Amino acid sequence: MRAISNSVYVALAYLSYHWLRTLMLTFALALIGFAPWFINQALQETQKHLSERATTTPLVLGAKGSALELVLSSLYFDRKSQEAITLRTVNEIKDSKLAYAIPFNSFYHAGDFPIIGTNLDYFDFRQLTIKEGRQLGILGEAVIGANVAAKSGFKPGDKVISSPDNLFDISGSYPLLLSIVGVLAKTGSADDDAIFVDIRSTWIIAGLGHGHQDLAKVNDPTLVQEVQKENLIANANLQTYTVIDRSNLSSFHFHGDDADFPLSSALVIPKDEKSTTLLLGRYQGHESLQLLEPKQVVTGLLDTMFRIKRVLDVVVGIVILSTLLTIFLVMVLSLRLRARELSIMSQLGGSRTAIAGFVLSEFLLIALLSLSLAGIGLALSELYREQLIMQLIAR
Amino acid sequence: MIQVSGLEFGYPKTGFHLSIPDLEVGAGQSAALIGPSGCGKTTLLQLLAGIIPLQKGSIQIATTSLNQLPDRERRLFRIQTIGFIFQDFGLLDYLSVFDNMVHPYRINHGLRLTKEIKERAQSLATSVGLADKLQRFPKQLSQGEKQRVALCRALITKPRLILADEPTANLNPEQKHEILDLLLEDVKTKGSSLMLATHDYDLLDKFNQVIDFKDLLNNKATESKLPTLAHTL
Amino acid sequence: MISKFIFTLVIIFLGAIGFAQTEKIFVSNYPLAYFAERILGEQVYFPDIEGDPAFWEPSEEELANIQAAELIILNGATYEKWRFFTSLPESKVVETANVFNDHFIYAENEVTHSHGSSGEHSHSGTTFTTWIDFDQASKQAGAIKDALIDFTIGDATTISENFELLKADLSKLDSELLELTQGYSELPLIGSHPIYQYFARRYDLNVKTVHWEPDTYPGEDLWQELETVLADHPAKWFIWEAEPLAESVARLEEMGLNSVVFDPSGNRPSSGDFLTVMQENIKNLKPVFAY
Repeated sequence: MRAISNSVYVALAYLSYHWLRTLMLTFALALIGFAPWFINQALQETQKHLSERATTTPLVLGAKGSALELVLSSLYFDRKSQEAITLRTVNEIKDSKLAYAIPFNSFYHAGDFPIIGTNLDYFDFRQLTIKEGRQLGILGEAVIGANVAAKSGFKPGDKVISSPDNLFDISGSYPLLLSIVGVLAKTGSADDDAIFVDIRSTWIIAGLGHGHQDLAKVNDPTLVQEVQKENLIANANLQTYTVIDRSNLSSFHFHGDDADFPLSSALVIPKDEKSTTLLLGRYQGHESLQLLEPKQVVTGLLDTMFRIKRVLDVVVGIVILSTLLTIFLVMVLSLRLRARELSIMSQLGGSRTAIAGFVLSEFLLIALLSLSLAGIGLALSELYREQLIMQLIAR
Repeated sequence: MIQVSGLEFGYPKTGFHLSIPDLEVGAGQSAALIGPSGCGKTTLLQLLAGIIPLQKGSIQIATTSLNQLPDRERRLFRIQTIGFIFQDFGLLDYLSVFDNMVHPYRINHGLRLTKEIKERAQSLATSVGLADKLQRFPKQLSQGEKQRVALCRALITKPRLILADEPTANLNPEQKHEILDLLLEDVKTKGSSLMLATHDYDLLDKFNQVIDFKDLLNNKATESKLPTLAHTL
Repeated sequence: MISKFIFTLVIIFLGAIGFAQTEKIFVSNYPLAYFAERILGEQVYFPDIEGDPAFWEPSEEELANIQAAELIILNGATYEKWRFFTSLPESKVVETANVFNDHFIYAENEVTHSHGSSGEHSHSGTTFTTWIDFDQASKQAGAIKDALIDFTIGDATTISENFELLKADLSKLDSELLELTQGYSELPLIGSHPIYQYFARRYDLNVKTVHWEPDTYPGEDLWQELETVLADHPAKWFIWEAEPLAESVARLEEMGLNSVVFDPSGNRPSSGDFLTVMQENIKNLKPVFAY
């Protein structure tokens, strides 16, 4: 015990005297412990997140184009450009009695948050529950994901205005003042970062439906204040926006056949395995639509990721090996530089075990420090990993 | 204290050869070892300390035959009985003055760093005028101060024999005398023996005995100042 | 004493269950409620609505009840105006009239208006009083039966049996009316409201409609409008959707128009049920086709 405490004392003295060298060694060692672990975890987490949602989403319907983008935008609300499909396609699926379809209109956003127009089936399907407030009731109402609430501080009763621009330049965009009526419980998925409204509300934003005397002028000073407080207006060009409430609700109406109204995509939930096969067959080679199994698309994506990972593993392996060699070299060189010091201890009558003990303690202390540092890094990354990964997936 | 007889030692590669038929330094004596550079002064000191194993002959330090001890015990014997002082001081730059002084108690598990030892280090430091510099590192000290730290480290174990290898070579004249006086005072008050290698002929007056390497190698008797001095045969 | 207390508790408990069960299935008008209850043999959730359910607006609480239902049975054909502005779990919504959506009749008198820069546009919609064509009523009942079986609510065999009975009743009404109206396709008739389109189509009748309320005396402009209609549509009979005011009946008689009531029974009748109301309707119509 005494021997060990002496060794540690001297080793600590050495390490703290050469603190810069100690720090660099520690960081280098910690990094080569941390990096591969983190990459691995991040990948596993990504895989988990991607496949979890993909396996729980039987089919996705959308316009022909990139399969991956359709899946990413429908499952993770990734704001990629997407051709519109119409509500008719959803009705057709419902009429087929093979499945029901949940429409999505994700063309609009409020500040940084995507506005997802859908119907109440989506909440049942994803088992989203209201933590605060209530479910969507009427046009112009919104429920927000847990992260939206946390980041913006919005709560039921607050108002959010939809941003006047859309990324896709479809049919137009008429900002709509949304009343937040509920906050969803946290799920750890993309649903936490979205603002949900009824799909018809998005059609009002698209200018397909409107009420009478429903436009509020922003130059009304009280409104300007109220809206600026909401802090979500990114565009100074905003002239008017639509307000919906119970008093003007019944005057709202849509022009034209709603079967022609736009959707960005739809989730399709077949009754059974057979219906899945039938539906997939039915949309095979469709001229303007594609019906996809997200699981397969994501599996393809993951395969690519794992191929990249294998290459990365080799690279990381080489880096680790060379780092270890460098560290070994540094150690050997430093022992050489200390040859005189060690021989002095020997001449004074130091025992072989004691002298070896100093060197060993130093090494163990550095290893311990590196491990602790890597541990702290991992703990921190654990806290932020999910967020980090969701961002990696969603952006 | 030191009894050498029939010592033969050589480095076959360089052709260096040392042959000492007989050498003796008594307890409470101080001996200066002189001779040109490279003549083997350091080798002799290392043989005496048991650092280099003996090839032929015998060395007895305080009646212990060093070459009959196994390595482990030889090291323990050395740290308990012998105080070593180097030309380059041999301080550890990452240890404080205090930790350098008590270092012998940390490098051999046969010794124990007690409160008493720490107090002794303190008083030794006071006696050499380093009391206020105990927490400094060697880098922050002058040459003279460094050698005083080395001196304290050599004396902390209360050695019966002090071996000093050119301890004054890197010091200015004032510091030289200071260090030598401190060493000789220990010899005088504690009754220890001192063998000091030097080529500084100014200092020889202060020693009981001067051993000239030239004489040793030429198989001549050393000049004796006192009857108790050792002789070469 | 204690047994009485326990009895009361049991009653309350059963009552609570009963209440919960009625919330399972929502229906949006009385004919559908009647069909659903006959097919299922249980009460369904048809809220107390004042006036015509077609123009009802559910309160926040009523909407929450609808959203929580296992099955939401609607008429469709743009009957439920509230549907446009409410959020529903669409997979649970069954629009019973959808089975014959190829045969919807589009509203003739389109309301045209303009606002702001978007110019003139019309609110085209389908007419929605689908069930007084009893063949269509039977199809709507069939859609309810299918939905109940699809959603596995109730016992399928019982449901099918009950449906067959209801279908027979509706079919009887249908054939009675077909027989009664046989050969009267030229006979000009006036309807108090534009709700008789499907009725007229099924039973091959020549009905023109005005916009009169049975419980208010029509203004002079409405009388004038009627004169104009009568000019090239010399009707002898005026069909009301509900019991009219005596003054209205009297003035119509002066003009040579007899009043009869054919109540579509969109809301729950104060007495009787769908079947008895319809039987009464047919009875009322008998004099019209007596010549």
